[in-house]
Amino acid sequence: MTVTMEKPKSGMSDGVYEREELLNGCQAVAQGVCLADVDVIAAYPIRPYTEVMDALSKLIADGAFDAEYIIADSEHSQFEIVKHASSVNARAFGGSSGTGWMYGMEALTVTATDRLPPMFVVGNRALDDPGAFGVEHNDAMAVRDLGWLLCWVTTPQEALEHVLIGYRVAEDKNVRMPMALAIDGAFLTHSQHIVKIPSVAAAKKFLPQYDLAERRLHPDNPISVAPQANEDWVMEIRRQNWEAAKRARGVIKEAYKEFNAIFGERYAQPYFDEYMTDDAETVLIGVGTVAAPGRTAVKRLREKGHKVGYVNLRWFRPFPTEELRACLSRFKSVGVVDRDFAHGSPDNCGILMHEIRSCLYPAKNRPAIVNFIGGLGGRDLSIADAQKMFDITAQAAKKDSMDGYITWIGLRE
Amino acid sequence: MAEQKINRVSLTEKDYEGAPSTMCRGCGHDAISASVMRAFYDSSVDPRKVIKLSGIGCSSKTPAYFLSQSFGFNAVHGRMSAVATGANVANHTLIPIGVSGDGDTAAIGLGNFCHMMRRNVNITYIVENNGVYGLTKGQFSATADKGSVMKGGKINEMPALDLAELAIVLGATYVARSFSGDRKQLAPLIEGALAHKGSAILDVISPCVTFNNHEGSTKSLKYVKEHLDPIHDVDFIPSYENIEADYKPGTDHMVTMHDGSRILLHKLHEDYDPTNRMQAMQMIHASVAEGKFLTGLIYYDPNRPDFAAELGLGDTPLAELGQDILQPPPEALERINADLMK
Repeated sequence: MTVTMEKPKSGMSDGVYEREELLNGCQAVAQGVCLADVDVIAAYPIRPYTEVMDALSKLIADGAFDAEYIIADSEHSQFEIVKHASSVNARAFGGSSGTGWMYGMEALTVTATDRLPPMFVVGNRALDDPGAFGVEHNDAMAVRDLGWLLCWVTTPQEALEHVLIGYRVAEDKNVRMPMALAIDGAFLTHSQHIVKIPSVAAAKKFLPQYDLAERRLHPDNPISVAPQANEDWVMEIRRQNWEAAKRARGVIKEAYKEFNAIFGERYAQPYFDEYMTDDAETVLIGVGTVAAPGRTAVKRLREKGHKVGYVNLRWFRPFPTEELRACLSRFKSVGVVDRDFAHGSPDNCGILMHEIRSCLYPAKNRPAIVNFIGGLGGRDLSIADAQKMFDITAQAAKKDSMDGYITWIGLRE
Repeated sequence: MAEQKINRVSLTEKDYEGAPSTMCRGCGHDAISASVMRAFYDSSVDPRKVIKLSGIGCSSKTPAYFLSQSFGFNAVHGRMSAVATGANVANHTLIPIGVSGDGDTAAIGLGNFCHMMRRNVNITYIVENNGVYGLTKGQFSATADKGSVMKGGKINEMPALDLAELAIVLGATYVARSFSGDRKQLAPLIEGALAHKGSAILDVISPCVTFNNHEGSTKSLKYVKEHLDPIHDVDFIPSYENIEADYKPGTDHMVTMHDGSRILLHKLHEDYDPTNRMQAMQMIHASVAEGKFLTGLIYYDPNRPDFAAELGLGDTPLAELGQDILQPPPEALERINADLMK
């Protein structure tokens, strides 16, 4: 299935979209937060996330948006404010990057185990040390085993739309999990695109009001949140978290169906996009903005007759196991691009590689899989790099010995 | 060629320099770095015995710009105080200087900062206080004054946290406030802090020329200059100098430091004694109420032992103790066990 993800198809005339603006990823997220009519925002600066809080502050100061806006004293406090606001039935929003995200980890952990559905944007940034402001995915990946929804987008348009989609999924009564929306530092947070901004009416039609119902913390609804359960109930609670994540797969599907019905056929598939894969033999798969050089390389290689395609994985948690297995089983070889690294892991490769290998293990037609570690700390992954990755991946289809082969792209040695 | 000026440990001013600064032109932090270099040179401190500590923020970049021969540790956001405490326990013979900012100290690192002072860890701790997060382009910090206006027009609604007051309350034993542009006052205050054994906190107002230097800001260069409220003129007299001639009984106040050096305070306010804790607190409150920056040596406690003394760490630092001392022989354990069986 082939789909291009460049621009929304609906015009402005039908009232679904209100206007166009030149926005970077951070500003687009802020517009999404505004359209989601978020009640409480807690903020604490760290690059590259900072511009999200600045853009929100400006929207409020300009009178374009009304929300409680709290500058916290650290990320940890920021995330706690967001979590508690969410528990009293306020739609809540926070965000961070890199080490800031990690500093608030205690709060992030309990937000998931308390099954609260606020949204956090993660402006992906390399973890210290050594210090770097550029993108790397290990920060957001840190919540992958904690009961979070985790999703990457590739353009400011998608970033705005996934604030709405993310709340729709997270707040669903069958889900109630926190949502991490990951946007690549610099390449998405600070690159500008023309963004079509939905009308308030369309956003409202898509995103129902937040209602925590029987779990709302309120004097009229006396309940205990986060009691000490010890060995009596922890296993059951963990299992409930997992059941919610399983249900989230279905809710994600529903959410995109509803989104497409209102905003035009924006997303052909909910969990991932495929680009020129119909007759492809070799594909690359990655998350985030590596899709841009990936898709461009596909276009160029297609002109030369190579049967190549690109798969952009959007939802990492819950992982779309069945769908992705069916998709990748169609190809002879798959190159997994990781902008992260799983230190000391079984295959000494990236996190995405591990997950995809595991996903494909039971596949009847298992393609050859190779891994690329690249773009760490914000280093550029160019179109030429993508072409090189396609070349290595294509070779893997012919040589059994290359299965599991790992290449560090652009490494000075 | 003229002979190069050297200090008492035969080092030149150049020996106290660091890498070229990357701060914005006119940043107050650069002026503070200059005062730091001046104080270390004048105090004849050997830079190779110094450890420079910092956290995250514009301020925390500045230790790269002075004392290039010293040890250095750039901690993660807000953790400088904890690292300083650890460094002090491991080797209390190192001379620690920490540079942090109001974001690093008064927000994310406040907990660690409080406990460092509670323990009276020996350190010269400079807060380069500009009321904003400069490195992330100017968000209000916890020391932004209520009513101060952000560059974009937003008015701060939260009251400021006063670091000097906090330091006195929490057990710091040398508390001063100064202005980055007043080297005449700041350099001797840093020298005094270096001579002091314990937590010496210097809250230095250092205007951010890029993000907090506009009309309506209470930390702008113009506003700060117009609202300085010095308690006294400050002179630092090293232990080897005779100062009898300069002392004016009745108007001057003398503070004797642990190493025998002295700080001579030429009083501008009547009857101010920096060892009077209550008076120090009252002075800060009165000054804040008038929208002024009280500067000078606000509080000094010569009697409280520092953390290393409290722990009885002895002369040889833990980092230099040999295995034979750190690991007692089997006989020692046998002796303890025998004692327990009695």
